[in-house]
Amino acid sequence: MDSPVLSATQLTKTYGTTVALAGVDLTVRPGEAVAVMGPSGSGKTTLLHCLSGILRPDHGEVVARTDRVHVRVTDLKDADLARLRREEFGFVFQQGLLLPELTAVENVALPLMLSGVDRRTAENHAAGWLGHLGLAGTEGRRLGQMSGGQVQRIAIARSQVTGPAVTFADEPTGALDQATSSEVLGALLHATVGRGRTLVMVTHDEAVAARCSRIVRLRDGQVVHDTAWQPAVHGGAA
Amino acid sequence: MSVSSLNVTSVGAPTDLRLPPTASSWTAAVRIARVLADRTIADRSAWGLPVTALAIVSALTLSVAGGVRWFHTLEGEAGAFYQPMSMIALVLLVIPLATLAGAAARLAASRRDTRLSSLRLLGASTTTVRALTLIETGAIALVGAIVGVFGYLALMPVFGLLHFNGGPIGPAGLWLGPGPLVLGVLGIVVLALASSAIGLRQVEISPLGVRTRQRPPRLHWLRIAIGGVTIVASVLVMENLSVITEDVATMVVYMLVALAVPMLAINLIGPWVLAMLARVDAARAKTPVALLAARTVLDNPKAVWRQVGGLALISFVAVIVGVAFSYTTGPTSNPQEAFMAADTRTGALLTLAIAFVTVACSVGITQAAAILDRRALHVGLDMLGMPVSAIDAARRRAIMRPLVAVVVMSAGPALMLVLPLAGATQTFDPVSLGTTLAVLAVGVGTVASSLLVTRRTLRGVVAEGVARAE
Repeated sequence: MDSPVLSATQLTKTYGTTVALAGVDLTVRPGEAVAVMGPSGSGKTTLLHCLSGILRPDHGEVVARTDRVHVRVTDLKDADLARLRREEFGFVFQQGLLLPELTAVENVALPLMLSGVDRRTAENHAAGWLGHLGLAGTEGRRLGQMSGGQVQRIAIARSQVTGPAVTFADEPTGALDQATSSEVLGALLHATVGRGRTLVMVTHDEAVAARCSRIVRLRDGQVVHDTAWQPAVHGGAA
Repeated sequence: MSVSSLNVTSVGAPTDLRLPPTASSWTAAVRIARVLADRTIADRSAWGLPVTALAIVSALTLSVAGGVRWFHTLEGEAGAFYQPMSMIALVLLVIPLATLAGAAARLAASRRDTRLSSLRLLGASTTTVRALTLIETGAIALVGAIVGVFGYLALMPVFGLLHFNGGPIGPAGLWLGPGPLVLGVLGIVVLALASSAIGLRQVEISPLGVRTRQRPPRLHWLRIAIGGVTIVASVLVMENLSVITEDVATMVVYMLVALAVPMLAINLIGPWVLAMLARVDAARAKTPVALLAARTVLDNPKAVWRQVGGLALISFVAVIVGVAFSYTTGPTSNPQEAFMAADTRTGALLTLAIAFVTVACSVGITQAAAILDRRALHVGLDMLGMPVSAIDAARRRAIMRPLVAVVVMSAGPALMLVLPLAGATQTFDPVSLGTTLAVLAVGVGTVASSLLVTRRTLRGVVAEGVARAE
């Protein structure tokens, strides 16, 4: 079996007197689509943030091992963490969090430009991703001229443009209707696990989780259930 | 959990209310405003910045008005000398002060998006929602203006120390009286309501949210045509002042108009020129910071202009002050002439200082509000790995690049106006040029400092946002 792309050991995180994570161990292997589920306040988003280096756990460690890096995420300095997040990880949030001033292609090209790729190359590559996700012809459009589903697919394109080993998604379909949600989820799975990459996704939606290869359930900051590995269902891509 | 399992005491459902057949949108707005008043007071982010901005505008406006009033109490030769000067200062300060008041009012109206869309969702008409916004903006403006009155009272002893006409003005000299104070407060409220009403035309309030119209209003090329024609007309008036009239009082009025009109023209042309330059910048941008900065300007050139337009005034005045300094620094044996020259310098520096404070406030307040309004986006970008320094650099560049354009755009027409009056020798005299450049440097430095101050807000918002992410 492949070595894990992410290993978390005994992660704990507290906010004041609230325990968000209470000694979580989690290993994620390449190609897995892991749905992290649990009631509100169970620690799902905190786990996602600790795994991706957005938050530092109080105790425990996270190790990332990709084709390009092998690092202890919890030991990295802020600047290195920002670079790791930009180049090795992809992110898709519920709100999209795209820059409204920029066009679709500029939004997708931005992470590449931040990593030093020249604008023309970055935009060509970004346009390729937009086309791959069924958004050809929208390159010069602004976000306000696009639907919620299209905006979320732009966010997926942006998350994939640097070729990340792991993509983290936090309720990526939470603000969409059922049909659009299914379509966007298909696009996300297609763009990640469909290409042998890894997806870690926080969701409340059982239907969304059912399309992942593995479901990890949290309660009170602890893993209470972890399903066996099975292939992800990534049909319905753009 | 099923409904039957809930431990509720059955008291029977209330009978349906008979709804009035029609309700006036304004009546509904007043009722809702009263209900929401407590929430509005508790939400400091909704009123803190606008009240501060309006208080500053009001304190400065009343202080300037107090000064102008004092100059108009002078009689004889002194009155004839100081009164036109004070009117020039007033004309020069009207636009930046009005701009800051407008920015503050827009800020007050734009910070309650969720509430407005929720009300629309509940069935409130667009008119009710807009009326509610105007009522709240009016209340915020009233509070700001009243706080400003206290600011004005506190500043009276400070401005009273200034020496004009051979002695200090004295705090009492700046006292406007209760009538003008009330009028000043009402003026600020009316200005805020007018700005708010104009700002509201640019947002769509639907049950699904409040958003700025996606297609930014196009800036018509006629702006530049009208602006250009008015500047040329002003220059012609200045050049032919003695031909148009021989009466000194009429001449002063013409001069005031000829000064005010190009400033209005610059305000008309400004956003159009900024958009044009940003379009070129966006096409040429090679770095994410340059691209984002150019797109920020293009997204709303008028908003950027509102922040930097105050520097147009400073550049404009800087040229005039420079020439005035070269006139007033020469040796003179007449003591009356000497203190009049010194007073001219004091007046010019005071006008510029007030303009600097106004510009600094405009930039600082608008930037702080923009950072707070885009809190979620900034936090998200940080999570994605976009360094806060890059976000900050783009934000600062989106202001500092247009500044250069503003300086050139304003100093040019000012030179065209001054040249026919002062002649080339006086205009390009080292004292004149040195003063102009020093004033411009302080102006640009002031804006840059305001941006640096708001950097802390950005870092704080991102740090707090990440901590709150769960």
